[in-house]
Amino acid sequence: MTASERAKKPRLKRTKPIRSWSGVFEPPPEGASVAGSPASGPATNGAKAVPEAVQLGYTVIQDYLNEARQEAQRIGGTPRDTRASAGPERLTQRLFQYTSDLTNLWLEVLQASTQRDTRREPPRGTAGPFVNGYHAEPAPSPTPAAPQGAPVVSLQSPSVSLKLCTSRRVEATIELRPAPIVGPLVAHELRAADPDAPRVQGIELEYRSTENRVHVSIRIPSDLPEGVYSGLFLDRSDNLPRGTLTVTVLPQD
Amino acid sequence: MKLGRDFDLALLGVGVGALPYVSRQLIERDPAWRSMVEHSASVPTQALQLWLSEDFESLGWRSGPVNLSGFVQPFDTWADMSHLAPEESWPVAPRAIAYFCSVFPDAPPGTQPSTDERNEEVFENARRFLNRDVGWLWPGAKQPTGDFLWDLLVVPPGTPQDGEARLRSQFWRANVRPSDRYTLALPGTLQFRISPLDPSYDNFAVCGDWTDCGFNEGCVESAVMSGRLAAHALCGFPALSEIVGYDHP
Amino acid sequence: MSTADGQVVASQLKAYGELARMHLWEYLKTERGPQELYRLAAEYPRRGGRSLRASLCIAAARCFGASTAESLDSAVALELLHNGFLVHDDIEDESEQRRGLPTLHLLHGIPTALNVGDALAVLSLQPLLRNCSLLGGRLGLRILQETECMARESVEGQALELEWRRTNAINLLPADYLQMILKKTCWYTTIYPCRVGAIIGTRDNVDLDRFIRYGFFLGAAFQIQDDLLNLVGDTDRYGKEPSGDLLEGKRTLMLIHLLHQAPARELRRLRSLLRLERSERTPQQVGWILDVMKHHGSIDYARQVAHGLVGAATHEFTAAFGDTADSDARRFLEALPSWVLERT
Repeated sequence: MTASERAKKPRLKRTKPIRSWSGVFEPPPEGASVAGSPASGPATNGAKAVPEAVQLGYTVIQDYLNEARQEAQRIGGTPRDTRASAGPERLTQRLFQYTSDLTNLWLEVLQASTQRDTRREPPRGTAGPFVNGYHAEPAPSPTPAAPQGAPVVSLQSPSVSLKLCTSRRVEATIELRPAPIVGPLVAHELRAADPDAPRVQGIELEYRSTENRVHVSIRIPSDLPEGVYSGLFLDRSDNLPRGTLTVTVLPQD
Repeated sequence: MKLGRDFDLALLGVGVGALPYVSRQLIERDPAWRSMVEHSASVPTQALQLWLSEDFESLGWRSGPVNLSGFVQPFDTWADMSHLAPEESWPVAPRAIAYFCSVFPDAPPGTQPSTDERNEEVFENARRFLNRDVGWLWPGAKQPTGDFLWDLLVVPPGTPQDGEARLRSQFWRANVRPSDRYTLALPGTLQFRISPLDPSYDNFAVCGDWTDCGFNEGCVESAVMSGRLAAHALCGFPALSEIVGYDHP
Repeated sequence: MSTADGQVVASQLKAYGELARMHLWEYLKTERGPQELYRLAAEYPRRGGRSLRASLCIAAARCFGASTAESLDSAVALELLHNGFLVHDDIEDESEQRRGLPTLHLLHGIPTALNVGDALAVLSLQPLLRNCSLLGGRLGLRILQETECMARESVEGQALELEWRRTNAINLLPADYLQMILKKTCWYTTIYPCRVGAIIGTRDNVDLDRFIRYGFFLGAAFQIQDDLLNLVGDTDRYGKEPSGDLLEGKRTLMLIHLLHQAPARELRRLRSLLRLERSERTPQQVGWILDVMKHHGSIDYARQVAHGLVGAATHEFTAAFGDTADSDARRFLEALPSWVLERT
């Protein structure tokens, strides 16, 4: 039996309820102008024009979508598929789709492998991180945009400003580790090898992210015995070391 | 069944709980149907109907004919169906008919009681309810012991006459079969309902209180509206304007 | 409409429009082929325009997470096609002005203008094909499918309107008008840009029907407002000849309303005027039609319908874009319905 031979439901003039005041007191005869239905003329009453326009709009678009679905179904799509897709065309399209996806995936794998950082992630710990691999400096990369309110993290090595208050001859060394600084920074006391030797305390450290610069301020007591004093400074964000401060107090002339 | 030989148009009028079982192909093929079934929900219910030889006012209910809910489990809803008494073929019509119903909890996980076992559960609930709770609504229906006055129940001739045994002749039922479950109208789900007027299939319509019928609640009024809409969809009759409650502001 | 909303729309239209225009010139400049053809093809784009369609496409794509670069070719393809449609529409409507200057066919003749319109349509294929390398073959093909669907709807809509004029249709209803502009205007002005933008942004992982509703209500309100501006807008800013639609006998919502409202005597005269060819219709006759439109409330009626449709578009915005994150693009799309009524 062909589609044209078999019995079908009648084509309905209306498939949705009317949600307006127009039919409350006088239900319209079926098939005649129903306010807001496709068969009705324009509103004569200005106040009715807006709601009837909305209702009419919804009726028009729903009828359109229904017809599109029926058309899609007629030529082989699913009832709710508004894209026409006949059998062979659909198979070809799927084949194209999978091939294209596979190709794109392969390209993405290639791209990822060429950009992969071949240095191992340095092990971390209280004594690390240790730099291993090919060179100590991380590849320069642009500072990523930080979400509002989040600390700005630079991937480039920070600069250092050192303020030394002392009457002694000293050499100061600051070694920074290749890890981003979030801050705040805190410095341990500087100690000599001799555990009984006095310590250098009160070291002030500040990381200014806008400058990407670590500001260090050390006061060396005038009676500090000569020798080498060193200590770690940590990043409070993860309590891991970011570098070492070393002060060598030279013999007095 | 073969289209054109055994049927021309199809109408699906089962309860919502049966849909996953009877419409598998539709669910697989039609995303809208699938969404509708996925978002539909139902619960089992338990029902009890009593035919009484006294009217409710005599039993102490002074607030007139009523549909009330929010009473107590296991029968928190009571509807006065006394107006149906003349429609039933009693030699002597009862003075009152009381219909009770409520949600019936699903069987505990891991158990699979039979329908008969679940019916017996409802019977036990009914017996306990009448002895313990209904006296709050009908103070005149209690014996001096506090138990239900079983003699109030009107029984057909030939049924057991004594005490609680009279309850066996009344109506009680566990509505646990998929098609018997009660349709829920959960927030955010009504948009997925399909209307009996939906034109997606040119030889098929649906009806039931689970459809998008203009009064989307689980009730007989909704079922009737839906059925009339389905009739309109299949043959154009009755006119939509004649389906009371379908069109409204 | 709040001033802030108006500013969002104005600034985003300007930004997206400039990007689209700059990219569009890449496809219009060529050292091969007849230079005159490409010079004329650039004529309408050079005259300006809001680039609303391109902006919608870019904004929709950005709403769903794509970059502007990913949607620019699709946006430009649409602008090229749109300008091609304008050239042909002006011939079909026998229009005399476009964007404040004489129409292309008046300046250069119909045969040349027809070919220029064809060229613009053909040129729109280039950026669509470029999508295949930029976005991948699958998405490129999907966008081509959408383009085919949109183009077919547009020509079908235009066919409806031309048929009404050819047969001097006078028993049209507002529903007929909406059905026609759904196909002729809404598909390529508002529905297609949103759908393509969403395809790009979600990699074709979103149900596209929701944009049909939003696009339909927005596009319908846009077209009705355009028709109103043609009759009662600021002539300096409008860009086409005032009341040109009445001269053409275009079946606008206002005319349909009037055909239903006018009493018998006025209706007889109106029908006889509509039977005339465009060249036979005088400015006085056009003036009379406009007067009776105002008298019978046809202008007010169309305004109210536009208001209603804008309300529906605002509602449908939530369904279409409600699950996207806040952004300039999203705010632009949300403010567009109101802007449609406020534009001049």
